Amino acid sequence: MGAATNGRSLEQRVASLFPTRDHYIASPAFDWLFLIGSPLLAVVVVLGASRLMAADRVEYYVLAYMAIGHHVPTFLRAYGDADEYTRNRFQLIVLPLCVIPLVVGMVLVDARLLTLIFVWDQYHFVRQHYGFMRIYDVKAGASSKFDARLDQWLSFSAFIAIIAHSGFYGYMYADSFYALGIVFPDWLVRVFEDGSLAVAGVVGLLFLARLQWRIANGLPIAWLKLVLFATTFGVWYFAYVTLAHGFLSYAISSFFHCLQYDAFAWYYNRKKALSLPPNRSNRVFRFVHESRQLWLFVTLILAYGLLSSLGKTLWLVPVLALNTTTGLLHYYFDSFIWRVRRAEFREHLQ
Amino acid sequence: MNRLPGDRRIWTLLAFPGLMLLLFWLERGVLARQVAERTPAEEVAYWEAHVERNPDYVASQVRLGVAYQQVGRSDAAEAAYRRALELDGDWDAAALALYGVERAKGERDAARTRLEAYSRTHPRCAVCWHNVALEHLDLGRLDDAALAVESLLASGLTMTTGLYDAQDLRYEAFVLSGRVHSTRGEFDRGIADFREALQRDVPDARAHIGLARSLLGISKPDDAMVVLDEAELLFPRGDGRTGSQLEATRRRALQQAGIRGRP
Repeated sequence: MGAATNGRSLEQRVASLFPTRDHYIASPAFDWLFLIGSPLLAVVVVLGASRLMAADRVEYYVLAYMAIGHHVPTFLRAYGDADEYTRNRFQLIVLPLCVIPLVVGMVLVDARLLTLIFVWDQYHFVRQHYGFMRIYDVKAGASSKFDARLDQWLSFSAFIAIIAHSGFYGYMYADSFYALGIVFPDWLVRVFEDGSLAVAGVVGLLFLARLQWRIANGLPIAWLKLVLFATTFGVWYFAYVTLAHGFLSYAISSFFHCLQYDAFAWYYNRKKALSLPPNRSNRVFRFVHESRQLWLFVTLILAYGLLSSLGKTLWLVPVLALNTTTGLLHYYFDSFIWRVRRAEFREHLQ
Repeated sequence: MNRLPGDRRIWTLLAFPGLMLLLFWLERGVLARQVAERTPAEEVAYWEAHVERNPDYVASQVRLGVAYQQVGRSDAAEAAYRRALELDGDWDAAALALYGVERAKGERDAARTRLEAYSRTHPRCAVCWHNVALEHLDLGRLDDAALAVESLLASGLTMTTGLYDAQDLRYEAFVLSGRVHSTRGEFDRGIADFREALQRDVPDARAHIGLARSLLGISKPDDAMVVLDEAELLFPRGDGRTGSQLEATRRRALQQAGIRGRP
């Protein structure tokens, strides 16, 4: 067996079950609070808040101050980090110039197409989760191409299965596509529901088999990745399938997604800022990410949320267009500004 | 520009606006026609199939109820709304929809009583209070209407349901408040409410009409004429009910001013 083949004692094997400090992204406390434990925290905070105020208000506050606000760190990184800006100058200049007039036009004519942005929103939730899985794998020395691909399959298949069995999303998709004029045949929807579960089941079994194989062969295991997967998907299942509440399900999901994103962006950008030589091009980026300026980072996030919610009462269409544009750009920019496989990225996560 | 043409990301980047435009053309050119040609019976079939797959989600039941109402199946709609309220007793849209269908079936007292009870336990449901106030106003119960309007104004005036299409709930609240106060003979308060409503810049003539009538209530026909002139400028095609109300109010103003014709 594995223990014999690798010559490891039972004590060593038991000790390897517990992640060491360098397996964490920032520190045990930071990771457990803001990354691994944040889905559970989201359930406690959102359900707790719903006892104090109406559910639609809870959703309103989460959407305004967290979901809208979390676009800010994306822009800080994309345009504030001189390296990032130079590397992606074409995308960062040209895409906004294309997207802004398109979104403004669509908001003005009330295009229903815009409602489908939530599909991309969900995709970027899963991409973020997958990104954290990759980081924990790398940190634990457990990364391989095969495992990366399996993680990706596991994350997406499990999420799609949850969405397919969620009353909340079942209605949202049915209503949005119907309003748009797209009607999927009933049999196709049923095949999708059953099929997504079957695919997720097969991928889950493959994942477990691979995990068993890694353990048996004494290969490193990223336990924190597994716990993160359990908390995230456990909470997604609870929020979307068990709870299935029109206001609270998305609020829970958005709460922990944004908390994870903001915390990680702060941690990574701060480390990057510390390594930068002081010069004019990165002055703002370094200033905002100094430890003593954490309040400024948080204030910028909350301020965008506050200005958006106040602005909507005065200039609904322009503010809606602005929020939609920053949302779309956030999804798009995130697809290339946080690349785990880049050497620079790994360097700052050491 | 560190990327050369041919880079996959650049093509993706260029394809993005193109794809959005293509989808927009699809929505307006193709799908919009399908939406317009859809029959109420097809809508029922669609939501029945959806609810069969998704029976425990409150909004799905409400949506099915709306589809039933469109084909006149009031009992089926009522059953769907009741099921929705069983699933979530705090779902404002379900409570309002149940009120609507009971009222349409002629069970007006029961509908009002139920909605009023729901509003008391859900004081933030502005649309609920709006309907309760309208009911009392229609029945001439002015004290009850005034209380409902107070609750409406204290509700926070936010829409908690997508079922109802009010352009501006604050506008609606002040118009209603103005109507209640003017009907009670409290013209000054009514005038203040209608002026508040006018501040909202909603393209609707009811605030102008209410203000003009209240001004007539305190014998200010000239001021009322100014308001009516402004309304006619803003809503030149004031046909139908609005047009006849504007016309009737103008006649009253002219009578009160003792003028028999306008230059």
